[in-house]
Amino acid sequence: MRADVVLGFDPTPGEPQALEALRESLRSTVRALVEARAELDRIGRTGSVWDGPAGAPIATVLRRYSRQLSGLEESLIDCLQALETWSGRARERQDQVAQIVESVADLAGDTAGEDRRTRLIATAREIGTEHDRAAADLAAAFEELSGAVKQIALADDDVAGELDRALLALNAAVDDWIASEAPELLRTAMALGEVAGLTTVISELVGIAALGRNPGEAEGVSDIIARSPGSHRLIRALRKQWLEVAPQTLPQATFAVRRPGGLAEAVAGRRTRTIEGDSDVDDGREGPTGSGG
Amino acid sequence: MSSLPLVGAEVQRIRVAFTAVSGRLEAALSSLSDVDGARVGTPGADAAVETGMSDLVATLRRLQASAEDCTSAMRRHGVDEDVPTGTGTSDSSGEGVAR
Repeated sequence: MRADVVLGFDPTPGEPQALEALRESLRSTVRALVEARAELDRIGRTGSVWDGPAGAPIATVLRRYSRQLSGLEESLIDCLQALETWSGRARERQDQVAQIVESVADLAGDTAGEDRRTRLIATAREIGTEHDRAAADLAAAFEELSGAVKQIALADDDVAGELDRALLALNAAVDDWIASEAPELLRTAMALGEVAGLTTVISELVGIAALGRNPGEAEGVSDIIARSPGSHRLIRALRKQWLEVAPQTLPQATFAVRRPGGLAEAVAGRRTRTIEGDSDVDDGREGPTGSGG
Repeated sequence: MSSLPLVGAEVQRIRVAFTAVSGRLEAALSSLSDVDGARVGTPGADAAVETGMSDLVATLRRLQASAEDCTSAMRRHGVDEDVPTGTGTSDSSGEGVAR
């Protein structure tokens, strides 16, 4: 029975099905935001590969976008809570009104029940007043949502532009790294004497450990290095330089020197120290301690 | 020798992540498009809900567009391959990541 037909007004408007559809869509949206944020947080977290000077601009972009998702998520959760509260109480009020409507309908034509009918309608009006107050709270929650979301992802918020600049800086950093490290990589690769395994050799040298991988694991390493922004340039540079080095001038391999810069010094013929002992050796040209593999 | 902490596989993971973000936001937008939020309460509440939902959708669209722009930015830098895990088929030439 319709309240507006029996009572002459509807004290508790609202369609439960529309309300449930709205709740479900907002829940889905919150889930989507949480999942989307997780995608980025996995990459940009502290201690990730981006947690360093060269990666900082990219990590900043990731965190910034993630914060936008998070801000929207929080606003939406607040709104959803208000909607849940409204939904439960509105249903209770509608049930109460439904009973009143049924009772009033039963009294139709009964002149002796006029007072009771009047009281029932007054009760329905009180429930309607309560419904209006609760609806005002619901409206306020959605007004807050409007205000909050307008501050998120503003038109002048150029996340993609920042990412673009960060990638340019990354490429520049890779170029710088190649320029500074390629000579030593070249010497090391040649010293290892495994031209066919050049990719793997380089991959072990360019800091795969930074990804948390075991440098000794060949599986996946060549794939990573192949996808490195600078790997093809590095390989090209190494191959080019390789042709310019006469085989007889290549240094023999040694793994004895482990401290940073030691290998470069070794192949340059400088005096250095071995890790087995503190005795100075003059390697680089003699270099007999390693196996080369 | 200093290590190079940034490698292409990680860059690709960012592109894949933004692609996934865009997809999830698209799914959310699709879900919201099915909603008629204008009949959930009083006329005043209905109007506020309708405005709030409209603003929510607009923000989601902006975020999704931003994620798409980020994916495009990655492509402009040559990061456009499909295998982000570092365990797939290797392209030993490295030419696929040329700038």
